[in-house]
Amino acid sequence: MARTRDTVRSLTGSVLLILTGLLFLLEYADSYRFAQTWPALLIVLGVGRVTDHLMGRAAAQKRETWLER
Amino acid sequence: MRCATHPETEATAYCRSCGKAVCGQCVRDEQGVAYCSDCTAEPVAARPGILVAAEEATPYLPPTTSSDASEPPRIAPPPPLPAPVAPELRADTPSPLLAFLLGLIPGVGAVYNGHYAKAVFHVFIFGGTVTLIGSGALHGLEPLLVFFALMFFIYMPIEAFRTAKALRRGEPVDEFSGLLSLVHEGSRSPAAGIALIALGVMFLLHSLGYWRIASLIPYWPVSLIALGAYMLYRRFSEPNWQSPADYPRRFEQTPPDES
Repeated sequence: MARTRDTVRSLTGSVLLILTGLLFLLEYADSYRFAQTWPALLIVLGVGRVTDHLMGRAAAQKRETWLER
Repeated sequence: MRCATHPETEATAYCRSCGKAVCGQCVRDEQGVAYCSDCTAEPVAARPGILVAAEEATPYLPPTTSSDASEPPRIAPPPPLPAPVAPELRADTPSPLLAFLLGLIPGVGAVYNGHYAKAVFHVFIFGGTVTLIGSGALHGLEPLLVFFALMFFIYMPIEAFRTAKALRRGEPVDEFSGLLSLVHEGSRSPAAGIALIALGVMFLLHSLGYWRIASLIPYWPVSLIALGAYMLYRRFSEPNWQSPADYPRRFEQTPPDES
């Protein structure tokens, strides 16, 4: 489980980079300014953090049930 | 930082003797100092941290008031102990003061500490914020980002200073511990993540022109109500809540009896 959580964490960083690139591409294509779209980066960061929290809780529950057996 | 033997749990301390990260399950507490289980298995006198205490403690000598002074003392004098070793400060690590000064230039403090990827992130975050402020497309959000830029400008030298100090103490420093702590650190509460998502959605709607953050202004007292409700929730959700005055004080505990 720890391994998958690490995956989520590293995914968050790479998705942030990809999204930054996409947003600047959109700026180049004159559809949206980066000054308008930058909050999307905040959303990705938040989604990564919530996912991390949920996976951590799932891991803890799994450990508890395993200990109870 | 994860525990060396339990990679799934966060480390709570570092072993004073070997520097290994240990979690609450592995930590061995000896006279208020944390060790790992391997190092407590060693004889006490073999560890430099204990030597000072061992030297300060005078060995028990039987009182010499008895008339028979020629009787040899029952307890042999302890073997001479090697000189106590001071906790070594590494001289080949970055100087904290210089790290602080260089940190005033965005990214350079992190470069000085040897954290190049962090330096790139710092430059991108700071430069991106300043670029956004200058873009003129924020529709009234400029003050917020100006304050963020100011905060980040002060954060960078402080972060460089602390990293240099941790390196000097020989602590393991994770390059992204300070930078991406929003993603990395404990997952006790998803509140910060949810707040990030909410802020992102609000700013996005604002900057795309669907909604204005200023329309929230009449509802500001709701924040007071929410804060009060949260404090009440915290107060009553902890079943064994103690007033801070009841906390046991670590260094004023009664010494363990010798029996």
